[in-house]
Amino acid sequence: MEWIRENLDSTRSLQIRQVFTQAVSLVMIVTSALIIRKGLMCVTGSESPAVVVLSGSMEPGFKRGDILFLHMSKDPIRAGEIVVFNIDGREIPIVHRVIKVHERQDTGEVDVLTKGDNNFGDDRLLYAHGQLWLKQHHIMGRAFGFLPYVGWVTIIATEKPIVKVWNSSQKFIITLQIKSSILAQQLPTLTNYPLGTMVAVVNVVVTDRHPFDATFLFRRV
Amino acid sequence: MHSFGQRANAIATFSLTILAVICSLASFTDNFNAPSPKAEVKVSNFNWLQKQRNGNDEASLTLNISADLQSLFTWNTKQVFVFLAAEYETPKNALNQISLWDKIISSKDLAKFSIRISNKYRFIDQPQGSNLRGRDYNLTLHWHVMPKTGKMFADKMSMTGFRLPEVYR
Repeated sequence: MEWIRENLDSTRSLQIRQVFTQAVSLVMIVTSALIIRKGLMCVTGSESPAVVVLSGSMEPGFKRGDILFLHMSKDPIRAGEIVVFNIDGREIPIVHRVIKVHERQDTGEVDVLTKGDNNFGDDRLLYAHGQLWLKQHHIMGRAFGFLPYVGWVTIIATEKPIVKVWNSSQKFIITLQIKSSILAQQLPTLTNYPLGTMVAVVNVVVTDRHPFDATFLFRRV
Repeated sequence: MHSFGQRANAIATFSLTILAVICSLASFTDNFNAPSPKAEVKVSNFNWLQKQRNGNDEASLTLNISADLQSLFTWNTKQVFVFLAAEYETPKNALNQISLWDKIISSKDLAKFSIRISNKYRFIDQPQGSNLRGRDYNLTLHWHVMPKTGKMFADKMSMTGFRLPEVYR
């Protein structure tokens, strides 16, 4: 028994040191990531200085998994810029290009209309019901730089599996592969169901990349 | 001795660092490109100017667009997004920009083009208006260079002296 304890003691002292070094280096990595993020927030003035592209609506310019760097300067927004915006009542920000701008004489307030380069129509279908224009407060950032593929790390981490969906109204079975987390997160109802659950489509709302992606409202059958 | 994990870690860190340096260098070299793009836009036909049921003016044009944007392409260019916007001032708005047409140019060979096309997006004076009659406007060709990696570039070329008709037709 004695030699076991001796061995254990000696390894333990070694391990504690090792564990401690590892913990410190982990903390270093986390803090440096935080420093870079906060530093970028200061420099760019944008709440989220980098976003991952989640949909194919800006292809071939931006593909899924690319990272965009954003700034939030005081310069007025102009047509052609790629902006990241948030619609009220929608969690996922959208990355699209500005195609129309109307700027007021007196207040400098802007009305902006966006469109995905790869979409057929403008974004009015994506906006909140009855909303025709984006205002300044919807816009979270304006893209200035671009890095390919790096965002796949976060996409893989949040990827959702294949879900079987049964469309009750049309009496056929479709297999909906939830390709993007944008879609998955627009379907909070769906993530509650285990894999392969049969659900009926109650309502379909066109989303980010119409007419290819859509939000489905589900109920269990 | 170094363990397998340490070696893998060192290799991954080193290759990622090299990749990051190469990416920023590639983006940096874009600064040495001094492009000399040429473009010309003409309104070959004015189709109509109407008042919509909701009171907004809408115009329709046929455009002749010819451009040579080949000099914008470098080895770090993925594509050039080019669009034509009508820009005008109204009593209420300091600036109105309405995109009429756009195109994604994916390679240098396709960057020299000449087309005749009617406006792809609707030319409507919104949100407050019937301000298009007799309105002076510019046609501005914008291009946004999207890189393979790094910083994006944008520039434009304005063509002035266009005027919408005084009456609906």
